[in-house]
Amino acid sequence: MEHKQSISPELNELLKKVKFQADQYNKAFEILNRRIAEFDSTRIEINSHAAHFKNELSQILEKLNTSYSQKENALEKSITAANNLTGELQSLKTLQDNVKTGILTLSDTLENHSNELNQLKLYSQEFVKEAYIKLDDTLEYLKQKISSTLEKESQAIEERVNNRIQYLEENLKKGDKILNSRHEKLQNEIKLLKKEILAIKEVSGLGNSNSLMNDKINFRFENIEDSLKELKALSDAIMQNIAILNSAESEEILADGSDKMSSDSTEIFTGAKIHDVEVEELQTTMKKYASTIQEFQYLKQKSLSAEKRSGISMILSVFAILSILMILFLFLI
Amino acid sequence: MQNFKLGPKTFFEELAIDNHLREYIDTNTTILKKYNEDKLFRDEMLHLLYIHSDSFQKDVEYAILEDLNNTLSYFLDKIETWNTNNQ
Repeated sequence: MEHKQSISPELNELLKKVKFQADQYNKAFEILNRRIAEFDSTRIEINSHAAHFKNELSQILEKLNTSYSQKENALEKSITAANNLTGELQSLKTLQDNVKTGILTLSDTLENHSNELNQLKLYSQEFVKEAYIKLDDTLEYLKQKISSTLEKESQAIEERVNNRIQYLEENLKKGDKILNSRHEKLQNEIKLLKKEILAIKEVSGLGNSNSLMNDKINFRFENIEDSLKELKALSDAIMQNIAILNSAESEEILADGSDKMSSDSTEIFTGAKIHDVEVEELQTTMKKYASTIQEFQYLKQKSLSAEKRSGISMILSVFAILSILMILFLFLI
Repeated sequence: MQNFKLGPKTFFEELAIDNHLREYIDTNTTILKKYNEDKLFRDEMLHLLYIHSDSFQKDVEYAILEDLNNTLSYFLDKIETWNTNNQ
């Protein structure tokens, strides 16, 4: 720079310094411009790399979105499950609270029940005492009532047994009368037959020489003996039944009259049942007795016809009378 | 101060070569008024004084310092953002 005289040398120096610094700045700006150009080139390169990375990032983002959506779905499912579990947990908590309150109420009720139980024990002890007293009263009342009813029932059974005995005695008296009348009739008939046999013997002149007739008569006689044995066995059975009946009646009478039977009512009822059974057995034996009498009458008719035909009716009638007498004797015994 | 075009010598340039321009401006009221009010005219006069004067010119030095001041302030304003960014 050329020195001008119009300005001071200090200013001139200053201008030189300024120029020098301007040159330095110019160089620095040139370096800066070059760096800017390099920076631009690197920026372009970086932009291309950025585009490349952007594409890759977009692909990765798509993959990440898909994976994210999948994970989100899984997470939503897990969240719903967790919500359900939390709901269940809350319900369990509420249930636990309810259980706690229930336990507290139960403990309270238990205490109340224990108190009530103690009161009930006291009441029950008092009740048991009163119940024993009332039971004793009722037992005494029932004893009195049972004894009175047993007395009434025993009197009624005694009356029934007496009536039954009177009825049986009347029937026996009737049977005795019938048997006596039959016996008288048979004796009359035997007498008539004897007379007729004698008249026939006299008229026919036949003796005891007819052997064939005798054999027939003997056979018939054996048959009649067998039937008489059967009648005897039947009469024995009737007598046994009558003896049992008499013993039962005597026991009943004794029981009706005794105080032991009044104390035990079950034995009376069993005795009454036995009495009914024995009455039924007596009725059956009476029926058998009637049937044996009918059989005897049939046999007697048969024997009478045979005596008329063979002349041995006398012997049969004697045996029949004997058997009847024996039966009557046994019956009366 | 501005760099002016090449051309034939003007009246003021001849006065400056003869070292009478300063006296002419100070003595002529109309020229002094124009020198104070018209910036282009003043710059032209100061440039002529800077180039052709043999003596020290206070106005020229003030003008140069003012220009330098303006330029440096502009430069400092421009690089202020850079300085602030690099601090």
